Amino acid sequence: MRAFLHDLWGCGRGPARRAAPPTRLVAGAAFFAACVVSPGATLAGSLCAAAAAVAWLRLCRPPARVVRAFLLLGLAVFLPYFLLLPLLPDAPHASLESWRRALVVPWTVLLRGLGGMLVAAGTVAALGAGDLREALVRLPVPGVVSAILLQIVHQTATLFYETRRIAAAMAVRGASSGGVAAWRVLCALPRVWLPRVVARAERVGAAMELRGYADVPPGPLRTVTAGRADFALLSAAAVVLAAAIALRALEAP
Amino acid sequence: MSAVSAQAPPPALELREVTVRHEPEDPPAVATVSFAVAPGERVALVGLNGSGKTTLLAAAAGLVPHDGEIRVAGERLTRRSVAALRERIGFLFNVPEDQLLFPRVLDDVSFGLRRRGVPADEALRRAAETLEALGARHLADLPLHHLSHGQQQRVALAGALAIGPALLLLDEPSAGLDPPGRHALATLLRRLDAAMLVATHDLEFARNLCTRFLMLEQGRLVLDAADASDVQRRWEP
Repeated sequence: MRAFLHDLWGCGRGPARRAAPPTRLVAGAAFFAACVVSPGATLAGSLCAAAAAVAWLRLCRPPARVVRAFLLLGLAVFLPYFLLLPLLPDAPHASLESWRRALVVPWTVLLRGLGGMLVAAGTVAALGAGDLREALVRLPVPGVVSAILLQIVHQTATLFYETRRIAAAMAVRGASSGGVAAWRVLCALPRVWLPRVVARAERVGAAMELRGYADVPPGPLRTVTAGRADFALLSAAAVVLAAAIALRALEAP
Repeated sequence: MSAVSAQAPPPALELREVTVRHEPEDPPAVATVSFAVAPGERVALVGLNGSGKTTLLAAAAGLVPHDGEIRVAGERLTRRSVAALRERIGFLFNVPEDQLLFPRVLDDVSFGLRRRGVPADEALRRAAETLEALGARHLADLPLHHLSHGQQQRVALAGALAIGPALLLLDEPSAGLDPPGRHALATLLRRLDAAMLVATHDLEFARNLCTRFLMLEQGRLVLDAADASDVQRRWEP
């Protein structure tokens, strides 16, 4: 678990890995869009979003612990929206239809949010360490945008480890031994963590400047040719996305 | 001897009355420092923590604003010239993790070469050779986050060396290396033709590698000696 965040990249063992990196990225984006576009108000829309997420996970096949972690994170983030339901105007006496309409909102948030997170987890699992760069360089994405995206991915993980080191240092120094101590440390976090993050960002910025990172990113390293796997993956993604768009269009008044 | 051949090449790095302040109202982190590093010369920059070694190296690479004059291979370091001059400089940060910008070791080491237009296959081959020379060939395909501090140090150094710079600015290159690693690094660096300015606390490493020793105290240059024992005498009176 030392490097959980970085090890997510390329941890999947599904058939999607047979396709070229840009295909995997585009297909992942299409499945993600399908989850976000699917209407949560109808059964068909809900099934479409769920099917998109499950199908993509099957194609990428990340380890069960990764799926479980993302599932729990998604539920923790999106389930609390249901707590807002009792705030419905005249909630105790509201009609069944009012409850149904009110339920649609948090349900749609949960469906799209959780589906999107699981698809993102699958995409990350389907792309290896160097694949994201390969995919971005090959796709018609402006050089500066891909450079920034890649550094966001790289540095987010680095900051995650920095945060874990600070947390470990706190634990070693007894911060977790008592509630008051933990609270004090938590309050001091902006003064401890933030300056470190800022200082680190400055140093990384200097290194990027010195190494000429902002220049046009280098070309892809490997020769990749589109094959049947690419065609199949893109077709599946297109079908799912088209279905989601159609359901959304049918739902529109 | 013709007039052309008699003309001495300009210093690889020259500082004239260089002062650096982190903030305008702060006392100088580096105060009116002047010295030159000849082509191929290996100079150690020693000093206690906070003496200004890192700041001085950063100024020499144009990373922090300075007063005075810095010249790289005879050309003055200005806002306009800095990008071109950096092409000749290999830099090692004191926190190697900061300068590693790619998820895979070989991609990171070969980046500088590819940026300079070297074809991908050739860049990868040369990057692998550099790693080999540093005893780190086995790390080539690993993700960077799997490396220890010492291994990151070697990879960052490989990235700096792979481009074949005329001037190397190395900040604590021996930090985090085990004793055989330090010895091997000094041996490797001795074999290079590049001029070097090496900021370090590690006097044994500096003695192994360098032929000249500059000492900073509170941002001021207090010693310029050919013998490391002069430095030792100041540290251990």
